[in-house]
Amino acid sequence: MNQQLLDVAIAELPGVISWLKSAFAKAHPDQPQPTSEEVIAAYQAAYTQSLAIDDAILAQHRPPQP
Amino acid sequence: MIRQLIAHSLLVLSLIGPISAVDCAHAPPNLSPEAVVAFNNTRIIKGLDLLRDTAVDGNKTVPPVISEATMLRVVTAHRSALIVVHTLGTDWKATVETSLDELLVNLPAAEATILKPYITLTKVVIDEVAP
Repeated sequence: MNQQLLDVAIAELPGVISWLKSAFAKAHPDQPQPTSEEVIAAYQAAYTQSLAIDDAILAQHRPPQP
Repeated sequence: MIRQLIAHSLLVLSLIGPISAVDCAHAPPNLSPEAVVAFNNTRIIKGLDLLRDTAVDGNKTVPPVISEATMLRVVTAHRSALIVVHTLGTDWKATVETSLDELLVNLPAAEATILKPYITLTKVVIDEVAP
């Protein structure tokens, strides 16, 4: 059981590392900020992608039609 | 005992990282009101994704620490929460938090213990963006 928990945690680590990098990267005052259009587009992409992953998982595990 | 402590510590660390990143991220001041909503809702999606991905990865271990039935419950709840957030834009907090609470209550005890920290931290993110 512990090994499986470790495996799950290790699988999540790459995402954690990238998030930490973005969290602690200090923004320079002159660094360009994302535009509203870019932020909205990023949200749409995140939503669409995440929903697609859900649909793929549910389709993969759907019981076969009789 | 020590190995279990290490395993749980690593799990908690895997949660603190993304959540810390979320807490440090504020909407840039130049954004329109609609973009601020999008910015915050993206953070919610990322938090929900962490919960979903953990359940999916937990189902892939041998033997699985998360059963297929639980994994599918989590994915279904995740999908519903995404659609609620996307459809409502704002004022989704009570609906999403209620669905997360119901998800946790209906899980087998052992799996609820594993997923509870992820659900709790997702709610922390929700409180951050929708106080």
